Amino acid sequence: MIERWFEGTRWGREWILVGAMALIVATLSACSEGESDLLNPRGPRGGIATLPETTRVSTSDRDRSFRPRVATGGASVLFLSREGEVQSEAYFRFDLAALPDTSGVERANLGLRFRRTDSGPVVIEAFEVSPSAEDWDESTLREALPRVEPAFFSSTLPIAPGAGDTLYVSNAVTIPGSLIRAWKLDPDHNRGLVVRIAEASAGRSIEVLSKEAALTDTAGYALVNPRLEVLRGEDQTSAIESPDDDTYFLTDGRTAAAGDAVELRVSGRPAERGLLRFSLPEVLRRGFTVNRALLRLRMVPGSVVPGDSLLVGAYLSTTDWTEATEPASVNRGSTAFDFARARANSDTLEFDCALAVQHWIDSGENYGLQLRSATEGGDTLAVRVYTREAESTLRPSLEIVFTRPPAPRWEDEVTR
Amino acid sequence: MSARLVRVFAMVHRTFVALGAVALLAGAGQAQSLWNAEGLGGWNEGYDLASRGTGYTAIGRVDPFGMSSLNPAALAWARRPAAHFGLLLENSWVKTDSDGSGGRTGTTRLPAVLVALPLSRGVGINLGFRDLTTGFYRYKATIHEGSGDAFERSLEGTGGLGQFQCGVTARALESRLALGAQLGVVGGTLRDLIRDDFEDDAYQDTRNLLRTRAEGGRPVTFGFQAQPIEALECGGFVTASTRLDVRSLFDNRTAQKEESRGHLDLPPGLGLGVTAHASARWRLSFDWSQRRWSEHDFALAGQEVGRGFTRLGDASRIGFGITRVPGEHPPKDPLASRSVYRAGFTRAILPVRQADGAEVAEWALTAGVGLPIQFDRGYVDGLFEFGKRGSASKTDLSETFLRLGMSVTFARLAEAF
Repeated sequence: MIERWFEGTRWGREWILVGAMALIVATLSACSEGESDLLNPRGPRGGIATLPETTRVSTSDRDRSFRPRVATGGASVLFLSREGEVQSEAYFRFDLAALPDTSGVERANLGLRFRRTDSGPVVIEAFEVSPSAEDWDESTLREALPRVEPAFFSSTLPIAPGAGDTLYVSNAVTIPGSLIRAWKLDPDHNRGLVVRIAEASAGRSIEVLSKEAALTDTAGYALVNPRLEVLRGEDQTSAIESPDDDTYFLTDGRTAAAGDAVELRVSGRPAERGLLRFSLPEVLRRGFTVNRALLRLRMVPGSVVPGDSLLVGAYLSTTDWTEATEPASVNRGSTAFDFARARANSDTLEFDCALAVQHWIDSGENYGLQLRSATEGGDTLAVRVYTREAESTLRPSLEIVFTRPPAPRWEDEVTR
Repeated sequence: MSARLVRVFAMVHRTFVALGAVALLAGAGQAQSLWNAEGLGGWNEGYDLASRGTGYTAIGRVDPFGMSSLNPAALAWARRPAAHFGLLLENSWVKTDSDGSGGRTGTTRLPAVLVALPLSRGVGINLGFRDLTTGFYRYKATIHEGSGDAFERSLEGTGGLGQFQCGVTARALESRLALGAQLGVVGGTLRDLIRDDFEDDAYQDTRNLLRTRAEGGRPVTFGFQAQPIEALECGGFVTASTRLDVRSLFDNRTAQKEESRGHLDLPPGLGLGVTAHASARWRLSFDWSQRRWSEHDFALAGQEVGRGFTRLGDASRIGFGITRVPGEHPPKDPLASRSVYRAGFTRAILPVRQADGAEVAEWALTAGVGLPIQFDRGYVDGLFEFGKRGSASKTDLSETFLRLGMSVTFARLAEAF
C-alpha cells in the first residue's frame, strides 16, 4: 500500500516536495530567536540565578576634613581678604604680544569690577610679582609668589560697591609705563602683578569678577574683564588687553576639623573638603559586580543657611591619607561619580558610590572618597556632616547592592 | 598528482563551499535546552541524521552512506570517496510545575562534517568534525517586578565542545567484517553570558561572561561491524577514557578575569547494536550505548580531589528503528520509490542530574527520509524528531522538542548524469 502511495502520479511527487519545502520554511521560521522564561528550578548550577545581595557598612573607618591648596583659576570671582588668619590676594598676568611697541607708553589702567562683601569699604595695593619667581598660570598657582617691594600702586579712595551691585573701577590699579615696557620687552620674565587689600583695610574682604565671569553689555557683546588699558602720551589709548591668567591664592591659618571631630566640613571658600574611607566587608571580592552603593551622610542641623544650597561632588581619592594628621593634599579622580545638593531643609546627603566601590574591589586599593564643593573657590557656601565619632544613628553609612560572579561550571551552586 | 587525488580534492573543496553556504543560512546558534547549562553541555553521541531518523540506531547497521562516527567501523562501507554534512533545527517548549508557565527556544547548528575516503583493499580513512556537546540555552525574565530594584535577567549559553577526528577502517572476510579505529581531538568553549539590566538607572547593570574552555582530550575509539549472515548485522564500539584540561575564565564589565583550572577524565563509553533484515525491504535495528559519567574524575589544578561535576551520572541510550530500503530499482523509477524511509523510538538518560540527584530522561519519536542523489551517489536525508526531555513532576522541568534536520551525504558525483 505504501509503495502504491509513493509510486503514484507525477503530481504526488511534486506535492511531497512542496510539502517538504513548506515544512523546512515553517521550521526555519519557528526557530527564530526566543527564550525561556523558566530556569531549571532544581538545576545544580542554581548559582547562575544568584540574585543581587545587599550588605551594609554601618560606619566609615576614617573620616576628616582637610583644606586643600587649590588652584582657583577657574573661579568666576577673585577673592581679596585680610581677615584675621584668612589672607587672599589676586594675581593677574597679561600677555602683551599684541601691543605693537612700547614707544610713548606712560601707564596702564587696570579696570576691575568689585562686588561687595559685608565687611565694608576696602583700599587695595598692587605689587609686581618678582621676575625671578617661578613661572605660573591660573590652573597651577597653589602658593604665594614673591613680590617686588614696595607696592607700585596704592588706591587713594576706598572701594565700596553697593549691596547687591557690582562696581566697575576703570583705574582700580595704575601700572607704571616702565613695568609695561619691561613685560613687553622681556616676556619670559613677565610674572604679572598681585593685588591685595592694604593694611589700612585689615579685617575686610571684597570680591573681584574674573575673566571667567563672562560678562556682556546691554547689547549682548562680551565685555573685556578685567580690562587693561595701555595709555601713551596725552592719554591716548594704545591697546586694551584682557588677562591671560587671573586667579587668587588664599591662605588660611586655621586648621581643619581634626580626625576625631564629630563633624567634617565641605566648603567653597576657604576650600575645605571631606575625606571618608570605608572598610569593605569580606564578602565582597574581586570579580563581584557592584550594582549600587549608597553613601548616606547625616547633615549637622543649621549647617546650611536657609535659602542657600550647596552642590557637593563625591570623588575617588587616589592617594592615601590618615585621620590623625591633616594632609597637605589628597589626589582625586578628575570627575565626580555623583553629586548631591545640600539644602537647609534636608538632613541627609546621599551619593551613589557604585563606581568607587567597584574600583576598590577590582584594584584592591581603597583610599576612600573625597567630598568637594562644586563651586569650590567661587563662594563661601559650606555644609557640615557627622563623622564616625558621632552617635551611631548619625554616622556615615554605605549600603552596597552587589552580584556574585557565576561559579565555574564544575562548582555546585547548591552547596557553594 | 593523480587524477583521482585531483577529483578528491575538488570534491572536498565543493563540500566545504556548500558547508559555508549552509552555515550562513544557519546563522547564530540559539537556545536549546536549559540542561545545556549544566555539566559540559548537552552530550551528542555522534549519530548522523539518517541514524537519528531510525531511532538513533547505527552501531550495528551496515550502510555504505552511514556517517555515524560513534562506531568508527560504520565508515568502512563507503565504496567511493564520500562527504557528509548536516544541518539541524530545533525548537523546544519548556514547562515546569513550579509556576506552570513556559517558553519557546530554538537552535540551528551543524552537527557534523565528515569525509570518508576508501583507498584500496578495503582500507579507508576518514576525517572530519562533529559537535560533542552543545551549550545553547536562553532565558529571560523580570525579577522583582514592580519594585524599585526590578531588573531583567537574561542568561544565554552558546558554544560547545567539538571533536576533530580521523579514523582508519578496514573490511575483511569478504566484506563481512569491518574494523575501525578513530582518534579524536576534543576542544571548545562553552560560554555563559549573564546579564541583569536594571530598570532604574541608579543601579549599575551586571554583565558576567563565564567561559569554560576544554582542550587536550584525545579519545580513542575502536569499533567493529559484522554481517555474519545475510539477514543480520551487528556492531559495537569502545571509547577509551581521556583526560580533558578545563579552564574557567570569568569576565565582568570591568574586564576582571578570574581563572581556575582543573582536569576532567572523560569516562569510557561503549555501545552495541544489531540490525535484522525482516524482509528484502524492511530492516529492524536496535542500539544501546552507555557512558559511565558517575565514574568520571575531576580535580582542580593542584588539588587531589575536586568536588566539581558531582551532579553527573551514567548516561545511556537505547534506540529502536525500522527502515524501508528501496531495493533494486531502475534509475527512471519515481523518486519516492527509490527513497529510504525511516522511523524509530529512542530513550536516553542524560549525564546531567538535578540538584537532588534526579535523573533526566529523554525520549523521542523519530522519522526520516533519504532521497537518492544521482541514483546511487548519495542521499539527502531529512529528519523529524518529536520528543520530551525531563519531567515536570520528577525533575520540575520538562522540555518538549521538535527537531528538523537535513544532511547530505554524497560520493563523487558523475559529471554527465
